[in-house]
Amino acid sequence: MKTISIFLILGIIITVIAATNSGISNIYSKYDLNRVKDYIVSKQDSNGLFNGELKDTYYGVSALQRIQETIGKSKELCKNVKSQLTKNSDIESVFYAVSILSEAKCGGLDASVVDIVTPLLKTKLASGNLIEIYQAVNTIFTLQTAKLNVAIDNNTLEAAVGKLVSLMDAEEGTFKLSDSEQANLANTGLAYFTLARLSHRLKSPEADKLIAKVVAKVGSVMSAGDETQGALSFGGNLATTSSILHGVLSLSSVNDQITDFVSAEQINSIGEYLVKQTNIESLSDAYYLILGLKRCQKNSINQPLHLNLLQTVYSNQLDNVKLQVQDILGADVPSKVVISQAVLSSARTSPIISNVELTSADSKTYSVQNFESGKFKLGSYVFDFKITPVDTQFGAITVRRVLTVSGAVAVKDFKVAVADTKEALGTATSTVVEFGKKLKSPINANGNQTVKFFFRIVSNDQPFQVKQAAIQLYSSAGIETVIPVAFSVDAFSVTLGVKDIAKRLGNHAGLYNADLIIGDNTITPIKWNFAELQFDLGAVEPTTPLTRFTDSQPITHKFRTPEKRPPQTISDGFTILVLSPALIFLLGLVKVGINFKRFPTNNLVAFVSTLVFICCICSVGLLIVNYWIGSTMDVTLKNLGLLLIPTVFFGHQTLSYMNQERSLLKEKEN
Amino acid sequence: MSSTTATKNRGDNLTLSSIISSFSDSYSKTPQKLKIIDLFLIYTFLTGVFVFGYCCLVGTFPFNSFLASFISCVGCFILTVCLRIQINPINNFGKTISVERAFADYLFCNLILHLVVFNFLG
Amino acid sequence: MKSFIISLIIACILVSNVFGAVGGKRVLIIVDDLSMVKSHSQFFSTLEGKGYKIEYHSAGDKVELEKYGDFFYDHLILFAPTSDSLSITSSDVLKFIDGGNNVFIAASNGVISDTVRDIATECGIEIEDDKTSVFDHFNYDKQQSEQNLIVADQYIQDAPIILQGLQTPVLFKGVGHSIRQNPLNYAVLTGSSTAYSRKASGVATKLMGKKVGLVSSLQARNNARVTFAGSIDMFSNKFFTSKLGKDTVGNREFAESLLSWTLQERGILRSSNLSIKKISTESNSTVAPEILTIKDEIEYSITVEEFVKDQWVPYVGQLELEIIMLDPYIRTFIKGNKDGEYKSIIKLPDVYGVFTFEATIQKPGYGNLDTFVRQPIRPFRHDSYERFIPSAFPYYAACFSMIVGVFVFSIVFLFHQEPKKAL
Repeated sequence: MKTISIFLILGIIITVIAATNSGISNIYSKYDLNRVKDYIVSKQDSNGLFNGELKDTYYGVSALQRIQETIGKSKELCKNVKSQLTKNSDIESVFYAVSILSEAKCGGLDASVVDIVTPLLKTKLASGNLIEIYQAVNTIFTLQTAKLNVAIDNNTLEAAVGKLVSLMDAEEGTFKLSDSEQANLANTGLAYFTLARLSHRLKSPEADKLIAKVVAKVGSVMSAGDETQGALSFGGNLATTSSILHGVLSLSSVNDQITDFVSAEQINSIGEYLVKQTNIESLSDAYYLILGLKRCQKNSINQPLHLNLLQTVYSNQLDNVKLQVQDILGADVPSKVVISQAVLSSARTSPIISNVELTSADSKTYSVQNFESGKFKLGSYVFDFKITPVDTQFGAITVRRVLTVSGAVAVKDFKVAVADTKEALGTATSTVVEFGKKLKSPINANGNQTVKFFFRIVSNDQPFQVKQAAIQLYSSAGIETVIPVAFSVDAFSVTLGVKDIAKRLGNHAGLYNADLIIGDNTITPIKWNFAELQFDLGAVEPTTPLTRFTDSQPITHKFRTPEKRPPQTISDGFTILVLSPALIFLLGLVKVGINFKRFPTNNLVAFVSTLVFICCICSVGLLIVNYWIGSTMDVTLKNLGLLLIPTVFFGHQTLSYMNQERSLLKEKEN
Repeated sequence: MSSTTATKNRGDNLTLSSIISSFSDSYSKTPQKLKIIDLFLIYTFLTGVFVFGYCCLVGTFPFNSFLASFISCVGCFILTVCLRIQINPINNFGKTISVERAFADYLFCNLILHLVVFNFLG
Repeated sequence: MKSFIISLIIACILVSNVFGAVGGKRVLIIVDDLSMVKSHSQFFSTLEGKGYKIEYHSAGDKVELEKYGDFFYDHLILFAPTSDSLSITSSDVLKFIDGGNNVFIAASNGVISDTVRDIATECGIEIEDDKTSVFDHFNYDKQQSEQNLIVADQYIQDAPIILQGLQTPVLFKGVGHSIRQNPLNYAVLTGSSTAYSRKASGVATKLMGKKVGLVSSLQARNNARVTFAGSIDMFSNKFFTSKLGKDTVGNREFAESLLSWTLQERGILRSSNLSIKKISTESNSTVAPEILTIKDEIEYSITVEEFVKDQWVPYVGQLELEIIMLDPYIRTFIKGNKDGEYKSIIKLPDVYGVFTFEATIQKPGYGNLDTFVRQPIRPFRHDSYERFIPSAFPYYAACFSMIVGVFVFSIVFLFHQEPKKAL
């Protein structure tokens, strides 16, 4: 908190030293004020109260009364408020009711009311609560203004002053709500206003001495405000700011020392803050806004002023200046207006005119005519105005404004040069293009060359430095780039290698149109198509794709080609060929002379077993062939195993019999 | 006596016709069973040659079939040659292995061979 | 051939956790001070009308976007360009975006805080220096005679879903930025050829022409959308109700379309009902017939929906299907029917391995759809090959003749009686 306040104090000191009072930037327009008024009126119920509450009714009625608007449904309002007054006995309702009755000019205030409320007021004056003291004091004074006699003597009021002052925090200058609470800014405004009113009524030296103590601390209260962009506010909300403004300005009317602690710039900054409050969300905001605006409009420290220039942009030349001086709510303020100096915005050290006074025929519009022709030509000019109000003793304000003279410029000496290297540009021939025309044939440049563009901008034969000078290259395919041109001495030029230009164009070669773009706040802009450029970039691939996602091509899979097969006839022929040796075998067998003499026909057992043996061998062969046709190995092996048993058995039988036969035969032979 | 002399005289001449005639002479003396075996060998050999020739002609498309049939031919040839050796009385296996025993072995080996061949034939 | 239905759990359920819940309605709006809620009330009321739960906070308030990985909000609207006292940092916001949530940021031509600059840079947008404005001496609001209050109508052309066909120009007063060339960045509104960015001192900067971005967006790969607008005033009530000559400017339609696109109210795609059905197969295997085999014909079918107005409706467009094992073997484009179904009959390659079936839709302005499923494609079993090949008949004949020959030979051999030797 301490560092923040030190920072703020420094900030304010710097603002005070560095800048003089420069008025407010805007007025609170009639349109916005009407919106506030409409908002307030819309909140009134059919029974006359606003939002059904006394507090909001007080705000609404007071606000409307300050802007001199008639209050609707006044009869119901008065009746309602009067009945509330008799019903409720807390000081808040009494305060609001009495204030409403007085402001709405209901005429319902009479001695009976005084009798009812006096004891309450007495007790509340002696209470230690700031708000209650404030409400009690204001009720008393409202009643007294209505010419009713309130039986409270000055001693009680002086004691109330003492009580209030005791609630001030001695260091910060802010006020506590009561002894047990923390001091804050919100209560300070109320306290100031109450003290001011008490001092005005009592006119007692002791009270004034106490109030002087309070006044001495006003400076630190003012420094507790937040300043952002020229707007000073307190406590971050409208109600606190407005009530502090109101309180300080009220104190200023009873104590001259206030001006030591409150400066004109601070009032100005509060005014700036108030002007920004265009969004009103509650009746209390509406009331405080109007209170603040009205106090800014008329007070004894400073009146925030607004300078309204009637014309800020001139064409071709500036020969008069017209303005109005208004207060925060738009009313004209008669003053003395002097142009302290006017300079070119780019050459602020040499004033063009100084100390020229503006005259007014009707105290509304101030003007000066007929500057020497030729003084203000194309460009932006900074005017410093010094405004001294006539009627009041307030200080002068200084306002700085920018006036622009706009017109037309011309392009002179436009040259394009293409050369193989940067150094060769000096000696290469440059093509001159007349302003407004286009070159008939395109300029060719390849990827290794350098291009230079050169031109001058003049306005009335004086070189003029525009803010935007660029060369735009665009093609029919939608590719474009804009190249800035730099200013040096008195002309514009840019030298670029074609490779750099190509990089900007995404390496898309081809024919491009070239435009010169000249733009500035003060001139009519120029876009001149001066030539076509053909870029030949060789075999460089374009880097920037023309579509967002690259198109992919469909891919189909190439299947493996099956092996070539021979024609069926060859296969069939070879099948027969392969079978032919069988014939040869059979023929040969016949030739050799075979017989089946050893087939055992005599022995039945041998015969049967031989036959079975042959059958088993056949079946084994068939089993193998069946396996090939469509069986599995395990089935085959199983069956083979089964078949092998009889095969082996019968084979053994047969072969042993045949063996016996053979040995018998051999013996017979021998 | 005269036959041996005749043989001796013919053996001195090494012309092709004399070789062929001496070969056919001695061959006619071989037992019939061996001749049957020889016929079978020729049959098997020719089949193998034709199979190989087909493969060389059209390429090895079903390579497994080619191998199966070729191995079948070669395997049968080899097994029959082994049978012939075992049975030939000149070789004197007669005491250790009888003809029937050799034949039974031959059948068994053929069974295994043809089982494998038909498995690989596809 | 039997046809087998394969229902697959889409592997990208894992991926979909990164996609925030589309259609989330919690919005956090951070403003410089609460008076902006009033001055931009028409802009915020478009949100309230659509059922969003909005929380307004001023820049100094302490807010948290997420705690322990759970996000408290689905969308963030950051209208506090100059405030240095933001309690959320740029890394918080980037984590928010990585979680699939959307951000809408507005800048102004004052001093822009570092937080906003950092977020912008991470999204590919370089905001110009402080206190620079975009000027256009050819297209400014001539009634106001402030040449940095420009009338802009260079809208993005290749993503019509963002602005839904807006033609009327908008008023813009603020700072420009440069956007990188990237398929994820959308230059929603750029300056015209004559626009340029200028410092407060009057010197022009290097940013000129159509490269001056006024409003740009980023659609991240997880479909989170981030929009940067260089002018916070273009969303104020004052600009919404301004007129250019006789016609009202297009600021309101522009803001509504842009905001609804940024908050993912449309243009998000999702896929469902992915199925791969076998139509015919050359493998006659009985073992695991549902596994894909080479040279099968399959029907790939997927349904794609897009999110429009809180509902998922079928999306009719073009889908790119790629069958990839390290390199794409097949790439086809499938057109959807009116129910959003994409069906295509494909013959699988004759290379076996583990393939990824990847379906993508990439349309400018729409969210990414990238659905993939991994399937093995197996080779033929040993019994799936051709049998009884005609060109192998000689071989079969040879084998048969051999076995028959052995049989005949063995018969003859067994029962042949040697004739008696002539002695």
